[in-house]
Formats: sequence, structure tokens, C-alpha cells
Amino acid sequence: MGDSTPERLDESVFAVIPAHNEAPVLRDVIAGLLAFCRNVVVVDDGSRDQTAAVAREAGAQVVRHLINRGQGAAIRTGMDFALSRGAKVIVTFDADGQHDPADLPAIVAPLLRGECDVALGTRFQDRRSNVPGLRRLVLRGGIWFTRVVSGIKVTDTHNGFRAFSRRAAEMIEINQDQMAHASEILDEIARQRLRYCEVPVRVRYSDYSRQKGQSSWASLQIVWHFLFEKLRR
Amino acid sequence: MVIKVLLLTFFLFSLSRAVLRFRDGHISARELVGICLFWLAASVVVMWPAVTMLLANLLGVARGTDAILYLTVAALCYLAFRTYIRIRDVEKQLTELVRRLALHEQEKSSQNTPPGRP
Repeated sequence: MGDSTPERLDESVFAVIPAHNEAPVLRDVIAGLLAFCRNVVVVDDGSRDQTAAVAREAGAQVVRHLINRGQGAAIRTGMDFALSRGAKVIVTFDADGQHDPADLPAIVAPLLRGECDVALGTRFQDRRSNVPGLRRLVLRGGIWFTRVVSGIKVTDTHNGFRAFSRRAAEMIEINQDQMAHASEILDEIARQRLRYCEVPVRVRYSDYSRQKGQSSWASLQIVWHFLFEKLRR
Repeated sequence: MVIKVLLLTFFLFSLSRAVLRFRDGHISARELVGICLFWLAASVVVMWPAVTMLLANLLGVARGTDAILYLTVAALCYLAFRTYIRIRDVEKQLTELVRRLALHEQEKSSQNTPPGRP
């Protein structure tokens, strides 16, 4: 690897973006990612707007859910697609412009070096993210909850920016179709004893992302879905 | 009593719906008979509430209506849980179906257009 070339990541790195009605912002997100990685996969999760067309035009590979099945379901579909195309590293990335594509090389690096199976983005290890007060509180709750229930110690439990090795992507089950998949992924990491590390990333809260994102109340529903599924194992 | 008239009217309405659904072919003759027996039993209880005392004595509950109430609540809770789990399972199957279709469609369209971006 030369230091001087503005290098794109290896061809076997795939970025997966679950997207539901994200047409207004998707173009910039895809363009940003394509600067770093050749394979950008958008899973259009039953959108009613132009999400698929915008994604295709921007140069992404598009997989379409005919009906909306939730973010967890879309991520699993994107991972299955990337695996079928020979992906060695799969990165999940939010469609709403919260994440910074410039963080992509950093989150992939520990995997390419073979240091871990999963790299988890965290907004709490540096001061680059403008996390609103209430959201900070709810996320702290999530961190505590995950520590108690899954026995895994991380500083940010609900960050959609993650990187998986091929092995990890094959092993991790995502049965949570909705938002509880974030907790489920951590639970799977613990259960399967996968090696993980955390990488500081920037999360930008914009009016758009806040409007599109989860309300803080949704966290209660997430807890309920997660615990119900965990009991069924 | 007003309640008796109300309940019996409702039972008759439910019965008529069941007959209509049988005619449409949505339920079988056996199911229709089952439903009829249920509403018939309910009507008997409404007309002659004293019969519930048989059940109450059997269960060791003081009043017949209480016995019916307890059993009904228990049965409804059981049904609610079962339905919840059933729906979760169906949702999972639905997701799997949508996923397979999505991947299949992608496969088909990428065969038609050669790889490489516009």
C-alpha cells in the first residue's frame, strides 16, 4: 500500500446501505462512499420514493425489497448479496448522511490487518459528534443494557457504521427485522465469541437525520423485541 | 333484562356471519357446526345462568359467572400469546421470501445488463 496515492479500498470491500425512502440524501452518501470503495450496495427496503432510481444513477448496486421489512432485514439482505459477490469485508452504513465516508478506511483497517472480525463505529470515543442531550442519555441506557444482558462492553451500542469480516458476516444471525438488530448483532458477537474492536467515527446529527431517525421512545420497543427473541433461543 | 336481549342479539348476529362465511366457502361445514355449538352453549348460559353453577361447584368458585369469567380470561390470554408468536413466525417467513425475491431479481437484472457502471 502506497501512502501517496489517493487509494480506493480493495475490490473485496463492500459497503451496504439499508435505505427506506432516502432519495433526497442518498446521492451524496453514495458518491462519498464510491470515492473510497468500488462496491456500494443499496438495499431499497420497499421505498415509495425514488430511492432505487437515485441509487442506481449514483452508481450503486441495488437490491430491492418488494415490501418494507425493516432495517435489520435490509442489512441481512445486503450482506447476503455482498457475500454472494465474493465480499471479504462488509461495511454497513446509514443512508441518512449521519456517517462520514472518510471514516471508511479507518473502520476497515483493523479487519484488513486481521486484528478482529468485527469493527464497530463509536461516536463516544472522540468529540467529533454532536449528539443531542436526550439521545446521549438513551444511548447510555443502551450501553448499560447491552453490558448486563449480552455481557459485551462497548462504548456505542447503536451505531449503524460497522465492518464485518466475511467469516463474521456468515456467522452472525440477524433475526430482528426492525431496529433491535443492533442489539442482536452485539449479542451474536458475544455468543459466537467473535473478535471485535471499536473505531471512533463521526456522527453528524442533521435536521434530516433527526426527522428520519428513531424517536427516543422507540428504545422501549427495541428492548421488548430483543428480549422476546432472546428468550426464544 | 336488557343484557340478555343484547347478548342474544349479538350471538344471533355472530351466527349469521358464520353462516355467510360458510356459504362463501371460507369455512368448512365442520367449522360451522363448531361455531354454532359454541354460540348455542353461550345462549343457554345467558338464558338460564343457573347452569353455570354446575361448573362453579366443580371448580370450587362461588359464583357461576365468575367461573365463566376466569376461564374466558385464561383462554383469551392463551390465544393472544399464541397469535403473537404465530405472527412473529409469519413475519420471519415473509422477510425470507422478500429477501430471496430481492436477490433473485438482482441476479436476473445483472445478467441482462453487463457489469460496469453507467
